[in-house]
Amino acid sequence: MLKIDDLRVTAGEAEILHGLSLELKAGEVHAIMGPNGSGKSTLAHVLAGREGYEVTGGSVTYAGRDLLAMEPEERACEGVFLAFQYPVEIPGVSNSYFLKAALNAQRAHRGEPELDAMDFLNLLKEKAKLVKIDQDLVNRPVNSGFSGGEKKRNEILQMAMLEPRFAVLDETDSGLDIDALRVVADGVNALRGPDRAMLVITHYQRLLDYIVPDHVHVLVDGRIVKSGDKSLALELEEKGYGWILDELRGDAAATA
Amino acid sequence: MATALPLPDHRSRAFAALQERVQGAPPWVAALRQAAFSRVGELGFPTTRHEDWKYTNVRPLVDTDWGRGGASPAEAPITLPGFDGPRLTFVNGRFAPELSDRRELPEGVLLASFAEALAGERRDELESLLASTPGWRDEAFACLNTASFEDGAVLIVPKGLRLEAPVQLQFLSAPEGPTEQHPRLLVSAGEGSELHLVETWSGAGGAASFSNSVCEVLLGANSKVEHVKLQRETEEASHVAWTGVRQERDSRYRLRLLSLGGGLTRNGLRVELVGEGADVQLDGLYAGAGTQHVDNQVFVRHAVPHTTSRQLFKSVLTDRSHGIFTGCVLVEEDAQKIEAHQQNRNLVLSENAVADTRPQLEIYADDVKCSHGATIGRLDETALFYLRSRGLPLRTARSLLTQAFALEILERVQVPVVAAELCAPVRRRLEEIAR
Repeated sequence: MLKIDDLRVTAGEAEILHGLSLELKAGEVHAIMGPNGSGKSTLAHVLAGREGYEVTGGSVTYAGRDLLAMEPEERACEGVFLAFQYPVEIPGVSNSYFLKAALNAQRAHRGEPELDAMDFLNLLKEKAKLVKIDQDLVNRPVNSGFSGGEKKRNEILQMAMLEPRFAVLDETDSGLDIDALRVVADGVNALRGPDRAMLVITHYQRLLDYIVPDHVHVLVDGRIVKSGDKSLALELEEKGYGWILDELRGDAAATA
Repeated sequence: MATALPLPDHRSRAFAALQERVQGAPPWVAALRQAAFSRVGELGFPTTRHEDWKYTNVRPLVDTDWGRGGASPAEAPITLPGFDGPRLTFVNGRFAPELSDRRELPEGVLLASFAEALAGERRDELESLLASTPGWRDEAFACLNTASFEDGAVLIVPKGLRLEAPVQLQFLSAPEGPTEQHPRLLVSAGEGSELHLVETWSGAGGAASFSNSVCEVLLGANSKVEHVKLQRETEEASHVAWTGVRQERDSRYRLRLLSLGGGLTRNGLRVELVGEGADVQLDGLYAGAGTQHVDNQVFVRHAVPHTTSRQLFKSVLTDRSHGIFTGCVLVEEDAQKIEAHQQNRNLVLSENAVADTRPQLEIYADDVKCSHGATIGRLDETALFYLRSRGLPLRTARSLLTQAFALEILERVQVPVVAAELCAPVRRRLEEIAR
């Protein structure tokens, strides 16, 4: 479904991703772990199409198309979703209005008719229940005055409403207590399916107890340096990133 | 004092012709006109070297020998919504009874065109009210209006009466050649009364037009006035307006000033808080595209203790438009325990649009709570990306964020039917601007 090949990205003067390759097949959940500053969020932003990054090499193919050539809204309409690490507050635009506008924009893109008000509200009610968001929050301005946990749950609510084919979760677990973490994980797991792929970016192994990944990758200094199954995450939790860095240095010495 | 533009000869001729036309008016009106006209001669018209007119060049307005235009109500372009309620309509500044809604009003309420009111049985009441708000004598255009007005509207609501229906004053310009008008509005809210006033200004274009209006609002003790003004004229229209407000004890005045159209717009506001407990809130939304120019000049004077003023002016500017806000709050020495807040927020959508902002406080009392601030910014890139990342096209995302910023002002309109009716033209204009 998604193929990243030797991706090189700079922001400002600095190159952040130095040739990153990764492939996700439909039905798979991949986790990316890595220390701060390794390029995890840059990868998430580049996949969603945020400005401020320059792709200097490599490619990203999504469902057979060049993802990087698409505008952010086109990516969204084609089924790409980014759950933001820092969801944006938008005073003056109600959450439900925003969701309806987004959903209908995506439906229009697929040539489907707009959802009428009744059907939309029913769907919203159902999904809000899934992520345990109060009706009150649904009608408030987008993320305005929401707590950290509410913002993250609101991201999952949007994901549940939009039903993307490929979702990137950028440190969705950061700042969540264990109950909120469970709610978020339940929301994500409800969306797992044979037609969908997910990329879960996280700093901690904790989230992966609830969202069990098929593959785990370690991102260090803009490259994937190690891949494995879920046991790799446990190993990282236990030993930290130090041993991987040591291994890397060892490899480098051996090659030299 | 900077050099002023002298009164051009055509003004003297126009004034002589006017005096011929309005011979039947009461002698005190003739005297007021004459004094006001002399005052224009003394003041001259401002140039951009006058501090208050720094950004607005009125020379073309002063130099043009404007015509009066015809009253052609059949072709009057009503492009803004009307409401169910009493309404006076004016075409090129002249009352058009056939386009007005003159339903019966509660006893004691006077709603009439100015010409009618001056000929009517309550004309003597007007003498103490007309031109009674302070400050107009220092404004050349307000003086010119006082000298030149031929029509306009009078609304008097008696003591203790709550007028439920919003009163609409609809001004339409249908110029066939260069046309000017000097409408005069006089609103008096008796002690403990309440009223809602909606002014709408629109026009067909086709030729240049110049409106120079003065609106006086007098609030008796404990009265409440909500005043909504929506201006949506063409770029050929120049709109100079001066609103003078005088507030007695515990009165509340709310102004929502929506300036969305006109080539040149100048809104002068002067509010005098002369009774303790008086409270004013001035909200403005001004939007410009093309080469539109909108200049807001706000002056609030706290003359006595325990008075409150709040100002929130927001602009949305694109293309080569220019928006200006100058707000001055004057707190007199004895006006202790007052509260005054002033905010101007500008959203600039293009490289060449310009926002100028000058919030000012002048405080002579020592126990006051005052704040002021101004911001000039663009649409938040992060918010734009957030909306687009959910599938909203860039254009929709821009429009949504622009409306979210601007509609706060419209949301403050109290009468639901007015808010609902005004919403469509305001949204439409914002969509055009945010495109």
